[in-house]
Amino acid sequence: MELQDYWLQYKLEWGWVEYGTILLVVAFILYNIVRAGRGKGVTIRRIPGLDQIDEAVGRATEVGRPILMVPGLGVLDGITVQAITIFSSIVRTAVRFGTPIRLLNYDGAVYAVAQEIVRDVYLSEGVPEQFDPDSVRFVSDRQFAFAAGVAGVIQREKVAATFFMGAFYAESIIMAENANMVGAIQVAATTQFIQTPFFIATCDYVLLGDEFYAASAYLGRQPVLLGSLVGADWAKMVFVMFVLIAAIAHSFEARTPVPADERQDLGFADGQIYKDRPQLFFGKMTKASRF
Amino acid sequence: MNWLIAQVESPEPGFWGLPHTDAPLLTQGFFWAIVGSLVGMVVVIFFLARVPSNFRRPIAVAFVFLAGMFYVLEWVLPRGKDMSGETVIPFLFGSNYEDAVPVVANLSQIIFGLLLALGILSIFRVHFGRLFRLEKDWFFSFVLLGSMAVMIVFGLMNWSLDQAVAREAITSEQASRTIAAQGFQFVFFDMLQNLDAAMFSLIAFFILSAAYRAFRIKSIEATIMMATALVVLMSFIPIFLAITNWLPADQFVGNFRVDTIGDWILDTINAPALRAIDLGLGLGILAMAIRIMLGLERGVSVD
Repeated sequence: MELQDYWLQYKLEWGWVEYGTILLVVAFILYNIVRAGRGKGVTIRRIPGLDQIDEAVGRATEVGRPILMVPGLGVLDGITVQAITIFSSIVRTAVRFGTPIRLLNYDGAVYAVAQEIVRDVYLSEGVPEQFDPDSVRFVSDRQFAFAAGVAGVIQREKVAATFFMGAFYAESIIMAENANMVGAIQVAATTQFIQTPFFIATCDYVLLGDEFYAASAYLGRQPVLLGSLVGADWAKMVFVMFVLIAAIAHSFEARTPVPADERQDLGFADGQIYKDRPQLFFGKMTKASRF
Repeated sequence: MNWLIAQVESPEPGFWGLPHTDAPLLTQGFFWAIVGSLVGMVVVIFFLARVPSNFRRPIAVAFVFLAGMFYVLEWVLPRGKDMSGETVIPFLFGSNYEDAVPVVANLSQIIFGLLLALGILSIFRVHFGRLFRLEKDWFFSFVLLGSMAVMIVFGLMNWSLDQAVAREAITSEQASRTIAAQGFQFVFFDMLQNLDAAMFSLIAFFILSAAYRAFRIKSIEATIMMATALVVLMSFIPIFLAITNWLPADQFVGNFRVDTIGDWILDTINAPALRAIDLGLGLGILAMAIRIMLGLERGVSVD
């Protein structure tokens, strides 16, 4: 088999849609990062869930109870790193207000990283002696043992504010409802979109979808990071346009009778006058791109 | 820990994997590869400690970029193997790029495994401290540490039994009659798994209380949500299905059957909304990955 044959097999396997789309999105993001780096003003909309962080920490300070942070059930991946990045901002606010914190972990690696980051925040705020190593804890790496541990801390310490951010599964509602019982103000964000409705039902503020990944850029207000958000928004606009064009073209093609002399070539059954879904342009482009 | 071990894959013999043999440990290549890796790790840590602090970040960013590019290349490079698993395009010293993937993945698992020990230390520090100082709720700490010790002891004993069965030193029937196996059965299957199930069952009650609060009619949005939820719920309940079942499904009035409306809500309103959130998540993580790989994501604590 010649090299070009491998490329043909490769293209058959992966199609060109994925490559084209990813390259386009990456180009958008990089262009906007460069544009923002050159000093072009970048503005993004308000995210209420992130704006409420100071209020939640302030309320915990008023009532003299701790704030609770949980980075979900994920291992040390991009999602959890993002959650810990947001928590570092929350901890900074808590340090300034003198509010006690609890950061409970499901994964040993996440625990180790979270503890160092929290320690760094105390150090950078000039109060390393106030850092309590027990404020960042490893609870368990079993899902419901972890949920029971978190629920126990919520109930015993009557936490005033909770921040659930990261990858959550069935345990999400156990923890959020326990926090609701003790009257905690709750901000949540999860990458598991099936769990998002549970958080919406139980929490005061929920970061939806990519708002979670926008948090570090939003809280840090660094122009270069904000540029990447604008790039992702450009990609969203392209996708919306694509969906609209595809919906119209697909509907039009699906309801356009195929001329009689072309039906045999397309393998139509007797009496069939419209193309089947796999024969339509957008059906072929999106479905036939893989084996 | 078990899932960590379960994920470790053995690389195929070749550049990335050495052949599996029963030869003495000191004569095996993999043993010296581990020793070499440990020595290399110490050298790298020593090197990083000696490097001026303003160079450390660029070095760390370079490592992150290379690590990220490793997985990007896995996606971009043509497949090195055909459908039958035969190597057709060799990379890197006659080896295959795909063979390197489990090796690199195993490295991550080893690091995660080491860090789990830190987690256990955290548990010991918190709960032994509370126990020795007889602080409030010290008894719960005692129960936790006691349970942990019992589980570790029975787990190890059960593991050694499994090894003995694998060596055919005893039969599995004999093993199942030992105190170790019975104890493990009791603490793991009869207690821990049932406790897990008990926690899981609580979800039903929490969903009910959360749904009660969410569906209270407080605003127009809450009213729409409650009405929609009611229709979807009705579309799953036989008695409500029976109310509109007499409408012929193949005629226009069939659109007003409860099951048709419920399916329409799920397929036409719910599914696209979830897909939109999923798309946003995908774009968000891509943007974040680019920021991390380029070293732009410094975290909001470093401002």
